[in-house]
Amino acid sequence: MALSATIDATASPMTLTVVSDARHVEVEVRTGGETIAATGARPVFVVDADREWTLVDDDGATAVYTAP
Amino acid sequence: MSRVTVTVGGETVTVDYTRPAAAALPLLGMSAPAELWDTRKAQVEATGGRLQARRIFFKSLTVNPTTMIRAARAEGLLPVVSFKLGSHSWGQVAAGAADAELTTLAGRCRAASPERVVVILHHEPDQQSTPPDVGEGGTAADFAAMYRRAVPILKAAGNVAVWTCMNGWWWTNQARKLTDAQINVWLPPDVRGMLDGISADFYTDQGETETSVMKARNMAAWARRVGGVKVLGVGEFNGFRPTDLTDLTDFVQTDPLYRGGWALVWNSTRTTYKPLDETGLLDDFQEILRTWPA
Repeated sequence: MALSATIDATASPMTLTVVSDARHVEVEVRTGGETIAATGARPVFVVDADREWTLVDDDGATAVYTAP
Repeated sequence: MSRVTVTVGGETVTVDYTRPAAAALPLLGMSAPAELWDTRKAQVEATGGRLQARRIFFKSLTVNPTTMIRAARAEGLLPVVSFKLGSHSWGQVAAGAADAELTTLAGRCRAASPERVVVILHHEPDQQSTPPDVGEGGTAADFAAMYRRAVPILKAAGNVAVWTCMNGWWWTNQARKLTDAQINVWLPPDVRGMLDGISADFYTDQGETETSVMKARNMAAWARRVGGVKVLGVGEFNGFRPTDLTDLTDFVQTDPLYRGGWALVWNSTRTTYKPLDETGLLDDFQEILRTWPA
């Protein structure tokens, strides 16, 4: 797994970019003769005591947040 | 120092960062004929507002600006001083013909005030040629070359901030606007990088085909597209309706690119534009000034 987080504090608003290759989750469920695939994305938890970061874009691998 | 912790699945990373202090709001100032400065300053400050900057104009690099710079500083104002080049063409300055004059000017600025002095060379250089690559002092490329030569000489003073003041109509929405490529000849990336800031003069015309705030917005969008611009400013602004003033001053307070710069109301006669007390906009500017953050 690889997880990175970078902040551009000079941008206005500031941006936080989170990149992870571990968010995609896919499981295959079989019962009787039937099979279904279920997909999802692990959530990103952002904790900052000084300000609130707002998600503005997320393609499932790269999530972009902004803060004033 | 702040810290953000990011967790995905079982993995966690932390990033430390420092939010830069917000740059100051633009200084709000004025230009007026020297002989009317005291009267018009008293008019606009009559309700309690206080000017923060003064635009000063000279026709030649050889004019000694000491008295005017000291007068502005004595009133607590940032001097924003525009120089035309006398008999020099831009190409001549670029070739070094004005090096001695620029060196003397830098020394005078330093001697006049240990605090910051803004120097602008040949404001509103474009004379609406077709194509828009020729001005009073030469070609657009000559203009850029002039700044390449002059900026290091002026900045050697230590307290001189070198800006340009371009033609505001470059950023109109009308057909005569300049393209990024055309502006790039006047202000190429290396020159943008040398400058402390870039300003322009923004007027709203009687018919409101071009508003000052529209041009100020477009200049900010241009600066973001092309990059390399540190700060923006408004060398002159005026109009005919209260909103011609308030729309612009509201905008420059909110756009981060104008922070650290200045906006200077034109309080003189210029073609169809009139002093504030002749257009009925004095009350409006007084209120803008009274409520402008210190």
